[in-house]
Amino acid sequence: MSDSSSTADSSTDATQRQGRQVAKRAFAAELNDATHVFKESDEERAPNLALLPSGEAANRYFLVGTVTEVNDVGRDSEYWQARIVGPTGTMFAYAGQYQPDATAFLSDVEPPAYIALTAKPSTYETDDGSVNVSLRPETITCVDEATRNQWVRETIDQTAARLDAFEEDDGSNPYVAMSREQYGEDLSLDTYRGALNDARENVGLESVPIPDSDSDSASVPGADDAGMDAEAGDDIDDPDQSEPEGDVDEAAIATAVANAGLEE
Amino acid sequence: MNATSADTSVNALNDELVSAATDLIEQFPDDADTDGDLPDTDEVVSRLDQMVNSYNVPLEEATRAARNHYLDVFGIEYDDLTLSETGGDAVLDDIDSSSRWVSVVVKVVDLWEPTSDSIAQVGLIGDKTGRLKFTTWAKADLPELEEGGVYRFDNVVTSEYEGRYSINLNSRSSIEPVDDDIEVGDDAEELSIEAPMVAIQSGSGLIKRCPHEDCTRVLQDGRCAEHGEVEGEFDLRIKAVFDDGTTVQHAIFDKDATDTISDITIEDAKQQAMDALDTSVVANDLIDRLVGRYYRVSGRVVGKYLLVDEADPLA
Repeated sequence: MSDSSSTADSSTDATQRQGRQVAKRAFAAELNDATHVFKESDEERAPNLALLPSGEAANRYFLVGTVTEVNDVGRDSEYWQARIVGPTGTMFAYAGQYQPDATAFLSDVEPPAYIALTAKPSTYETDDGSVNVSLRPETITCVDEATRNQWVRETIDQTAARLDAFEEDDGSNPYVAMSREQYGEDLSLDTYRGALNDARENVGLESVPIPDSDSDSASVPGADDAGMDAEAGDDIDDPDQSEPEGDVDEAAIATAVANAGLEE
Repeated sequence: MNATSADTSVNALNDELVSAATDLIEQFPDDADTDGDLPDTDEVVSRLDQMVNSYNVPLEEATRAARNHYLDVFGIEYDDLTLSETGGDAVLDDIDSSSRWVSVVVKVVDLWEPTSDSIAQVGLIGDKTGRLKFTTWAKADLPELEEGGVYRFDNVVTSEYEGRYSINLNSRSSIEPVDDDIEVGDDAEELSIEAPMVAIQSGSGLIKRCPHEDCTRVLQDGRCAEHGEVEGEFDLRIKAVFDDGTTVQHAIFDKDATDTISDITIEDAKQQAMDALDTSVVANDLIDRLVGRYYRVSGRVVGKYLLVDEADPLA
């Protein structure tokens, strides 16, 4: 069964004591920037947490997107890479011998298809020292468009709530402080607000004006402020930005990920 | 069964007395007769006969009186008796149908104002599995319960009104104070959630349960933890996890709820498993159909589990 078959950190004493970790919702734009991972306890089996820039820690994600490509990038054994695309960018999931259900699914699925997955965040360091984020699925299933749209709307709401809370933080949320520390004092959340607008547009919702960080008043009615949106949306619209590298050596990435995965 | 019916023949009544007497004697521990012998059947029958036939005492009442008499005589505590009442021992959470006879050990949580003269007492009783309303009929002439007191109720009857269960104490019932304190669980609350099903856990799909009476354990590899290797009876269930991004809710679908949400009946499941010669195909099919999708599920919460009554897809 999916729950017991897979990852080392999904059925441990730590989990039993504190209960199952909640599955966070995030878009690719934010999730791919969650490069800082940490543990909150010294115990060997304590859960790995990825720090979302919006000021929350995630041990598990629930994500819905379109799988556009699946490749076996393994050398000695099967190692499946899936490209999963959403309204804000692309994320990558990898499944190998320790994720038998996910492997079976990926080897079988015919892209393009809407898929829902619960997954653990994982990171690996590339040759030039940058950190890339990937996902290790616990469950993957095919879903329909209505489910996918429901998820997008839900993720817009939950991400917006995190961003608001970040801005209004009075110091009581340790993850906000950690985010500033890890991702830079001048971390701009506008990037993610812009991504949310892309997501809104994708499901037929109105964009929300991004508060001008220099002024107090938040909104200028008239959501199509071309200047603002262009600035914020620029980097996100370009899908290549979200890929790990320009020209991707899939096999090298796969090896690095596999090694990183085993170390955990 | 009741000795008050006018046209009961003496012989039949005698059989009933013998049966009641035998039952009563069996309830006493084997080492009870330290000073004297345990009464033999004839002696008990004669005692019962006197009460029932000469003094018009209902048989249940006569039995109770006889039991208490022998408890005094032998200096035994009520709790030492092995009672095989017609009402099976139950916890409040077991109660899921009406017109059943059960015996329970409960604490009186709350006493309310009776709304009619035919009601002696009414209120809320609880045990570690939850709380239920109780009503004691005035006609039953039972000892008065105190708030906070812990009692054993024997032979109470369950009833149902608008989906909620309760127990009634009547003239067949008995009340005995119990000397221990017991823990009272929260009310089995109703809960409704809207969330995707993010996982189906092991122990789901087509399972087998122990066929022994009152044992409903799920078999592991054909073995019951209590009864060893047994020929199990099939059942269908889902142990699901719902997660809305803020809270995790575990849920259990019994075979009817599983049918509602997945359109798979236990017969379908057995067929699937037979075709594949593998019971795990059922669980995998359930995962394919359900996991990753949004639902509204509702039911009662017991412990960490939502016991699902209704499930509807959202989106």
